[in-house]
Amino acid sequence: MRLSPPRTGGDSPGTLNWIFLNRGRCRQHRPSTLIESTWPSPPGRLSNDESTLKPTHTASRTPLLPNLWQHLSTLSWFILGIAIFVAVLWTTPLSASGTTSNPPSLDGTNSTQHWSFRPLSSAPPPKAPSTSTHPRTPVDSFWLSALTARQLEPAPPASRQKLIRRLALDLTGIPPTPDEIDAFEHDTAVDAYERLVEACLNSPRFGERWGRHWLDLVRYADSAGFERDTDRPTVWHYRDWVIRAFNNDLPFDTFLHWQLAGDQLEPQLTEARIATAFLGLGTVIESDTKLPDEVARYRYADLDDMLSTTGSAMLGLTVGCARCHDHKYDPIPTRDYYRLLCAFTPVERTEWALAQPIGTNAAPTGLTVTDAAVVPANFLMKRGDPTSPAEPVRLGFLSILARGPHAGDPSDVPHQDRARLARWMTDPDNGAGALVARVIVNRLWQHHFGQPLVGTPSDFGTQGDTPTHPELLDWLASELVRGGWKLKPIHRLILLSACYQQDDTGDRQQQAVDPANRWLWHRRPQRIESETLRDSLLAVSGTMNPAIGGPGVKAPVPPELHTAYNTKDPYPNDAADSPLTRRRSVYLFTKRSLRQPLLELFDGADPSASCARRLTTTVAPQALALLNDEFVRARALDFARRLRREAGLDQVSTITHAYRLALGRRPTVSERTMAARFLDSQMSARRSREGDAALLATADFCQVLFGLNEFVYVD
Amino acid sequence: MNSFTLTEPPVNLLSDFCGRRHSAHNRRDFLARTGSGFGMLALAGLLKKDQLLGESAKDAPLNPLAPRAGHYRPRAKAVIWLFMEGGPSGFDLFDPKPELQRRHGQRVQNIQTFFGNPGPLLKSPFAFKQYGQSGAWVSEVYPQLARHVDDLAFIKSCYAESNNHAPAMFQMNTGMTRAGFPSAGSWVTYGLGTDNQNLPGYVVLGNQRGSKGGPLNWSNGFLPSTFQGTPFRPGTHPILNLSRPGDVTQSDQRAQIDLLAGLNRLHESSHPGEPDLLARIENYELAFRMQREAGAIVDLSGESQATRHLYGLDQPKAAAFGTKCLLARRLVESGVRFVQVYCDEEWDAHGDIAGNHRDMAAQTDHGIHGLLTDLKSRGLWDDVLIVWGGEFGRMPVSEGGKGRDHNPHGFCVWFAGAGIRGGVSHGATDEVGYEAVQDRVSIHDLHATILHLLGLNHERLTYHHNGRNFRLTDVSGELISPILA
Repeated sequence: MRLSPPRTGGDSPGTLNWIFLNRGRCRQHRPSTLIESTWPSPPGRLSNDESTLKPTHTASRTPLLPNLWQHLSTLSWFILGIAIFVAVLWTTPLSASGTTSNPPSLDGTNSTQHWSFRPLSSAPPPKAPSTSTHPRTPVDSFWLSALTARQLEPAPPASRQKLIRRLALDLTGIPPTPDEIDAFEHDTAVDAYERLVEACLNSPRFGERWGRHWLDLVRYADSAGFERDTDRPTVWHYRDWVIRAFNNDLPFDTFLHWQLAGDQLEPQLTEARIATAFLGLGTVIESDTKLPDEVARYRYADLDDMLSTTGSAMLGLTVGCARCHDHKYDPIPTRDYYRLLCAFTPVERTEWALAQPIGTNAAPTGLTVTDAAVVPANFLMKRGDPTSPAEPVRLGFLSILARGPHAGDPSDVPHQDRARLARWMTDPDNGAGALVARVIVNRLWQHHFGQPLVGTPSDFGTQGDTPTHPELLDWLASELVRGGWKLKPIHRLILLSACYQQDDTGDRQQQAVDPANRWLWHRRPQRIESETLRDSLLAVSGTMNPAIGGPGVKAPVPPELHTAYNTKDPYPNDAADSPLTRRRSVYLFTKRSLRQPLLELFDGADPSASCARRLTTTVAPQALALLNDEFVRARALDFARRLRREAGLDQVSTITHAYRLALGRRPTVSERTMAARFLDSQMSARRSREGDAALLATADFCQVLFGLNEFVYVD
Repeated sequence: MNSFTLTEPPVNLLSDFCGRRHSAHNRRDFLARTGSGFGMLALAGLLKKDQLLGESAKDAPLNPLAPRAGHYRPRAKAVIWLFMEGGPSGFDLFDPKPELQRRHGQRVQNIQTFFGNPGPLLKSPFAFKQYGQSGAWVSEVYPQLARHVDDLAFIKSCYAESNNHAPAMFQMNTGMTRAGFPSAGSWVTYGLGTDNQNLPGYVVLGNQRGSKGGPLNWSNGFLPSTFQGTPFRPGTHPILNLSRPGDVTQSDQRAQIDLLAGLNRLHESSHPGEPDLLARIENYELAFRMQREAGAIVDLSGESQATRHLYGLDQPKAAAFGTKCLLARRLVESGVRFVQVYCDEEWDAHGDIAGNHRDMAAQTDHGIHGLLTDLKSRGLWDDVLIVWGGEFGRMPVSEGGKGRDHNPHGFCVWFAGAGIRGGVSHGATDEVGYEAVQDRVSIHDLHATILHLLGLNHERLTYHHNGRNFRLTDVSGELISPILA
């Protein structure tokens, strides 16, 4: 990121005594400020109760007012500092400030033109090209007109066998069973596919899979991070709430409202209170320090994390960049940052007694947040330094997204700021609603296709990508708002489209025209996500514990990783693989300092920061894990036992059943031949050794299936 | 004075992973040509395109860890970072303060300490002598290390931002006090790859106790996970998943990998233009080789008695750290790019500076002496940069009478080896060692210098993440030129 000196800061960066700030992002040098003059000693001097030392070294970077240092006692400095501090606080006019520019104009000039800040376009779907037999939903009209404009041909639909696997892994994160595949393949009704989509969307597994995408964005974990990494034993209520929200299709505006201000908007509603745990999910430095500056820095780091995550996850904007300086690319002045921050400054984490128990095994309390009784005064902090308050500020929204006479400046009533923020967030006419709708439909598209319409799903600002299909994006966003912010209808529009149902053709000519498949002329295989991989191992081996919800499960972690790490709540080193730990991965306890290696290796989201788009790495340690990891080998053995139970001892039925369970299809002749040769050779190799040779040889084969590209990539 | 005043965006040889801005179109096409979209191979592709892959690597398979040249000719090929966790005291080891001795027992008013309640000034309990041509001062607790002072460049004016262990550890490793950012080792392997493809590029030799902040200290942060530090555990199986399951032999596994390759090739033929699928096939072969090589690297049985003695392996107190120093030498000798060696206990001398530092020095003295001596005798001195230091220093005032609290305002770090001018002392704290006052050196400056020695420009080594280009040195950092040879 390019940084230039603050435009109107007035401080020349070359000659002052630089102090470095404790901040996560966008760090900048900060000149000595008046507040610092109250503490502790000027460079080169140290005073005590008997004498004053003469400076023996020359500071290479001259301190502020170097000569004054020499002539003022500490006490004088303290008094002077306080006096100036107070003066700054009470005399700085609200409107003009040396540290931030005025909000950008709202008259539609310059940045307001940026596509993502505009109101939603109401353009209807274009007329589908007449030559095509493809359109199934309005999505296809947008897609096909973009495709044909580039002389590209859509791919034919994928086979039912491929479609059911694609749908099941996409919507539930678990491969389909042979029975489900048979039923779908033999279903001759015209709405067979539609009913399958419906079944997947209504499966309780849907929320477990799609809730996980949201948990990536809000950097969900079951512990607090940093050196103590204290467990948060009740935060799982939030995770379960997210899963329920996706399953029940809680309108997305309500979904956001409750996370930001459930306690203020619906104080009587348990679900809404649970949702506000969103604000308490970040990492927290739990320190014994008594230094006021350090404490202030931790507090502001926490608040910045809250606001930055809200910005990335909900608004798709890098709001956090405006903490220390006006945003370099997007029209977000620092002033907007601190005005937004006002909504969060009173927030305190707390354990809250649940009025109504959720489920049957609910803990009596849940993590939630509440506003402090005394609302702190809010200031714009000079260059993001929490010890350098400049002008006082009160709640305000992003100027660029505030329309109407008072939209950016909610009211003078100093309470319920979060509720107001929440309402602004989803107001498509006078607030951020249009942007928020675009951001979420883009995320839905991203997870269905493996590539979003806007390549930077958490950055819709001017540095982000522009949409490949802007009209489609706006149309979907409009549909979302029109449909009362329900997400499942949007899923349907996408899933029922011909675009989604395409096959992988790999057509060489089209490859040359659009090698990246930007225009979606075919379907490319997608690597399954780490949770889906682990869940698939459990499902295929027939050992998945299907229980829903509840406290995070502490699954075993290899001893190699198990050191003390000085945490307050050490992760148990005696956790054993058992039915209790064979839960879906979304229910595993996420310890920030000790992540599950299998999930981490396959690019699971790092819970330190909001993750908009997981990487797909292909590295040797993944192969090592699939070859040697205890959990993987144990599932291969379970799979072999299952095959013996369900397919008997016959080799052909064993191979066929294994293929159907793991890959959702029957083996080809050459595959069956290779598999049979392997099984024979392993049987004879193992016969001379200890153990059930047939079972172990089958397990060797099952483990090979787990490693197949076809198992790890879905067509 | 630095990037702060840049008017043009830095040239980001490694940035724009997502393919955007000035060259968005070309990059997209390139990504597409490699056919790997958002995957690791795309990264390797970008590295190649941006000519960060050396000429010789041009025909190498696309591999994110393939060795590549940096921005300019490197002075060092590898780094061994001796991480002195807990915060060693500069003025009790390398930077005596006569004024502190003189004013022992006097109270000072304007020092804030982590646990509050600072005591009076506390003189160093150790005797100092000058050594070598350079006449560098070394405390009595480091007699072996003292023999090497003419090869060391002391930086006596470091400062950090946090006086809390974990944030300070994070800052020393990643440049940031918050968790979630890539460590220096990750940035280096991201920039340069590594020479030995059968071993990780960034190895962490930790301790049983566990470091404050845990694995986040060697995290890849937002960089691809292949660049994260790999902790080696003590014993014969240093890497995760290196040993086969009990019921699987090497030939069982060979047969599995052969079947996998056969079946995967059948599948691949129906998915042309997807190199990730081919890469997965190759990775199984690599994993198979890795099991052998990583096991061999930790087998010290072939090391001579003289070598074992040199590293203090025959001394109970020094053996654990000495073993890690020896292992570090074997790793860089085998082509590992970045090795961190953490001490086994902490320099966190709250209760007793004399006892703690005497003990910690005894634990580390032999190993460091062995390492420096051995690197020289094996001709590795000009290839390997050695860094010694903790996450902060300690207070000149006492804590509880005999101890010292954390002090991020001024502390000491030394560099040695490739590209370093030995016998130099750079910067200074005030007369009692409380605060860096002369030629202040930030952690970004340390990082910028490490990258520079490896041939990487810290302002150009960037990665685009969540809407901006990130650097190890964020938006500052200057070379510490006086210590460079």
